[in-house]
Amino acid sequence: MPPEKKAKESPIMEIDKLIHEPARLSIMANLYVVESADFLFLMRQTGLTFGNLSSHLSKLEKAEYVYIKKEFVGKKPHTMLQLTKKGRDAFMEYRKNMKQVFEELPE
Amino acid sequence: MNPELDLKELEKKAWLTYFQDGFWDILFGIMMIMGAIRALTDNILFTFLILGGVLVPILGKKYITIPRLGRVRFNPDLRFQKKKLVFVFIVAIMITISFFLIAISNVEPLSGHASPFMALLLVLVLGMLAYFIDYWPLLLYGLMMATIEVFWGIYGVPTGPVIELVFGSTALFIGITMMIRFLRKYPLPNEEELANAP
Repeated sequence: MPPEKKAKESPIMEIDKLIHEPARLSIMANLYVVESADFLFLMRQTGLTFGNLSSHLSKLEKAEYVYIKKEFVGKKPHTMLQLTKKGRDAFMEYRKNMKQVFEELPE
Repeated sequence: MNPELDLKELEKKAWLTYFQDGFWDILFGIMMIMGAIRALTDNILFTFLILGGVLVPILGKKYITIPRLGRVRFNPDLRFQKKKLVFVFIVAIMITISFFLIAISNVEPLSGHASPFMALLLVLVLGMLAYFIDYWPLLLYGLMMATIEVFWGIYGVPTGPVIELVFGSTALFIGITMMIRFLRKYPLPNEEELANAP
């Protein structure tokens, strides 16, 4: 079997690099365990700064992993965040691949 | 590595963040202290203050916890757990009101403290509540209140109320310490910045 083909089939090559970045992984995992959360809740849970969280969320939104909904609570603007179906599936796939990578590591 | 377990832990951490504010502990502290003062002074005003204590977690969550912690909608499994919590909370309020009515009825043997029955009921209700919401200090308060009932039943006044006062002050101290820690850990966010969130 050619080495390129073998590498392509390896689960480590299937790892979603967009999710693999630690900050984005934390965002995805925190959104995965809830139905939806607001920007402040996610900031508290991940420990990311406003700027960092905004920047990573934009990337996840661009990949259609996260749905960002702007709404008003009273007179104040409020941002609610939710994983999309694509985001949930991508996260599940990421977990599966990571688990496989660790399982295939020699003792 | 156990990814399944990690996610469960993360979900639990998110859920329990809402109990770090100390309001539940403050509520039980107030209930026990007011109950003790009510018995020692025989002033009915303190019975109303026991009921007023229920407002502490409700108003505290609305005006202190959520503005600092943000809003979250938990997954349907946990939401079901929340519904069970509301059910147990309603039952607990009904029992509190029943105790209140019994206490002011002066009908023997219903008035006063029916120790073993009440002790068992308190442990049962608070144990159920602790189980459903996964916040085990509530069981400790149930055991504290049950102990008070037993001592009250055996030794009467003032031993019962004095023990209640000590336990109540302990719970209040724990609650206030937790609240101070919570306020320090989660200061009010910059509203203007949040309004500009993506």
